[in-house]
Amino acid sequence: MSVDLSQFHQTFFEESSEGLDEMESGLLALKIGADNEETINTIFRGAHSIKGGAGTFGFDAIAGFTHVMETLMDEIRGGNKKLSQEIIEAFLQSVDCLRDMMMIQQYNEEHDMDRVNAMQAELERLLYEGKTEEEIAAVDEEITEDEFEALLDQLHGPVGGTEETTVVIEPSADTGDFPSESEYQEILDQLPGGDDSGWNISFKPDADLMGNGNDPLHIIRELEGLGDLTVNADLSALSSFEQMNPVDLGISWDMKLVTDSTEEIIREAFAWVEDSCDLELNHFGKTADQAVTAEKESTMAEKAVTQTAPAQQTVQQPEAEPKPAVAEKPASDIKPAVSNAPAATATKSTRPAGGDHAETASIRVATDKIDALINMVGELVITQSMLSQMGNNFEISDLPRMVDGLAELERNSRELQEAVMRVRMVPISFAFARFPRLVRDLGNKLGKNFELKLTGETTSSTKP
Amino acid sequence: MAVILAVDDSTSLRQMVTYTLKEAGYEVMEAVDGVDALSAAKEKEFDLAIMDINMPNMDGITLLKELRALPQYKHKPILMLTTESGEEKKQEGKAAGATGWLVKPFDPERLLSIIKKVLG
Repeated sequence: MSVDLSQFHQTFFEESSEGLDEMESGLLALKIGADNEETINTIFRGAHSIKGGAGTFGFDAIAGFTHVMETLMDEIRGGNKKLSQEIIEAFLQSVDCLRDMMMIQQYNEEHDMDRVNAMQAELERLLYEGKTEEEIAAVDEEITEDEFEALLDQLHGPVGGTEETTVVIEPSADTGDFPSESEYQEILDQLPGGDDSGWNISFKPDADLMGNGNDPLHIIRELEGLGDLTVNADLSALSSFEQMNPVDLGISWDMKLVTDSTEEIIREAFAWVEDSCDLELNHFGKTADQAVTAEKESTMAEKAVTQTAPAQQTVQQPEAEPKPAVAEKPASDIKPAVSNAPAATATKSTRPAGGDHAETASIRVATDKIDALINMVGELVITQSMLSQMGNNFEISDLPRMVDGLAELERNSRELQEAVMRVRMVPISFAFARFPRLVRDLGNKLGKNFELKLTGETTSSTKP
Repeated sequence: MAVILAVDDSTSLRQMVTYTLKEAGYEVMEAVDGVDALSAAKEKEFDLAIMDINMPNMDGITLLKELRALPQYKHKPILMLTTESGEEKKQEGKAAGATGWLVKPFDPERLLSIIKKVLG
């Protein structure tokens, strides 16, 4: 089933615009040394939501940039980094940058990646300032420690195993650091092949595994999708029927799965219950190391590409086969943050001429206004129905009632009209929303302190 | 068809999840935060819930604990929907009673495969 995600883009841009306004207000309200917990949480959530949405809808440049903002704010709210005026200023500029990126994305134009990268570099500098390499790696956990160790092993020597298989990786002249697809295929061909191969799986769940809504059947279904599965259930620990608790498991399973899937993929099926079971995987057929090595190379290559330039994946056409990690790249260069993301989508379209194209085409309406409208329409329908009934069997003696009914209809119509007009009314503060930031930046530029006072901002006005 | 509760303060993501699930034939209840979700869950029983962690008013972890305290949801599948793939948040979710998680960003196909895995 294919879903056209573009139908949700406009909503994403509108809510992101509101989110950025909230972030900016929050940043302007922050005071060094004061209790800013709630405000910092609001700012964090803003970045978090934008990142999640951007990633889901494929706006990788925005997702990558917001990820750094989110990470830095998370460090602050977790107490791992102190809030400073420098950080606040950097965030305010990041909000401006993100606003522009949203507008550019909306019209499918090219991002000014020099500006984005410069801003991102500044955020990363603030994020990693004063941290050791271990702390830097711990800040962003997109690569696990085991995978990192395995990557280091790959870089400094062959992966261990009972049978050493030396895999030769020659950098391609055309593709720079990564071997080409044909070279990678050559590497795979060097590995010995096999007949049926797969995994013997021993799965012993804890008795309370089903307590949180997990069900071994989910896992077995997922394994069935990976290959040819044979399942044997061990019922020896099952309680008698009289003593049985339907939520407690007393069953364990031994399974044989004929598949080319790697251990990592098999374990993924058990990811939700790994702490609630004893799980053993034993490979049969093609040697475990050969199967694991080939997949680890491709998995680490995928992660290495993701670590260094996630945004590039939107522009480079990803290879059908993943590439092995590159020997030349030193481990210290592998950082979770994005550093050089090229332009996003290349399709250009012209922005509408004239006017403020950043203006959203929707307004928020309080639910009590909607409730009032619904009530009034209800009364109008009743009045109309009464008049209609009167008209069907009209007699002259009904004339006074008709006059009253028409007066009621007029009153309902007028009230409905006024209620609809009120729907477009918003607090006038929206017109002055940018003033606090404007005054602040002006003060910074002139080296003066300004105090901006807004009164009467709740006065309603029609939104143009 | 199964009833799914989708909780996320992001309108666009919530719309995407709702649309995807409805197209696949599920009945969907939407909520914008934990307070809204708890109210909806008390009014109508769901078969599975998907919820964001970071939400205003009541976050996903607190919502999870509140739901698990209700007898009808003690053992229902509840998935955390989050961009945070860090181990700490996962463990926090598990300790609060989460069935599992789905890490953002995800595409509609991934969402449906997870739902099918859990609901069958």
